[in-house]
Amino acid sequence: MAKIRKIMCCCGSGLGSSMMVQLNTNEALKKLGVTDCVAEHTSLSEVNVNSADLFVVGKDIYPQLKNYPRVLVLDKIMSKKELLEKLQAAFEMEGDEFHIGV
Amino acid sequence: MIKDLISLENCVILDSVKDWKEAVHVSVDLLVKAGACTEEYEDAVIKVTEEYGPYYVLTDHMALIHASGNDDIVHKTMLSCALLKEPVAFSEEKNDVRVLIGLCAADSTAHMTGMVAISSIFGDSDNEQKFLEATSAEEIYNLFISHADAQ
Repeated sequence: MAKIRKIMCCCGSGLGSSMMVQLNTNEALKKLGVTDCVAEHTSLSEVNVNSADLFVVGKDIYPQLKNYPRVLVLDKIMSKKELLEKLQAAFEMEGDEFHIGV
Repeated sequence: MIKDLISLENCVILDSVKDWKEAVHVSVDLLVKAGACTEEYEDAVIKVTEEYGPYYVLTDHMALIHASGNDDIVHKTMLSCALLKEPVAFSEEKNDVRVLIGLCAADSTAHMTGMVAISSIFGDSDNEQKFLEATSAEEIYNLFISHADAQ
């Protein structure tokens, strides 16, 4: 199991989609029964590779984070179902580097 | 409170806009008229769109038009909404947008209730369809209000 204690949801401005994905991530973590992980949101200009264990982005933003070790890419940014499935896959990953959804 | 973020005056139904730049103009202009931001905010949105693409088109039909703004250009956190009868294209792929939600945020958290409402409406295809079928500004406004405490 991948150790994921902090998830950073990232979008262009750090205001809109990243906040919605953060809300949806918190909901998904509850559904998955994960209690030792927090989700936050930020902008592309502030994001830092050391600021989280997993980065969640929409596919438009992915090119900006393609060199990050652990990235979860959403095709439909508003889809709670897609997020839940991909988060579950992330927690089941072995190893320190993986990109999900690309 | 959702009513601090959106007002009936900020909701409109329009026939069409000619391109994505006019779509940005329409949604930001509603915020400017409400005193939430200055006209420069429109330039900020255009700039971020040209740099990163229209990443704020969040579903097939909805764009959450916004940029990060500093205190000089954003005075107040607010939402606007323009529903288009004819879709507009933001890119080749994102070509069927009918809901233009304008957002300007004075800090990183005050618009949370608005994001809850948007997520509740546009994260569900039935709710989104109801929104697309709205025929009055009142209807649009009431949908935002009723979805704000959905989570």
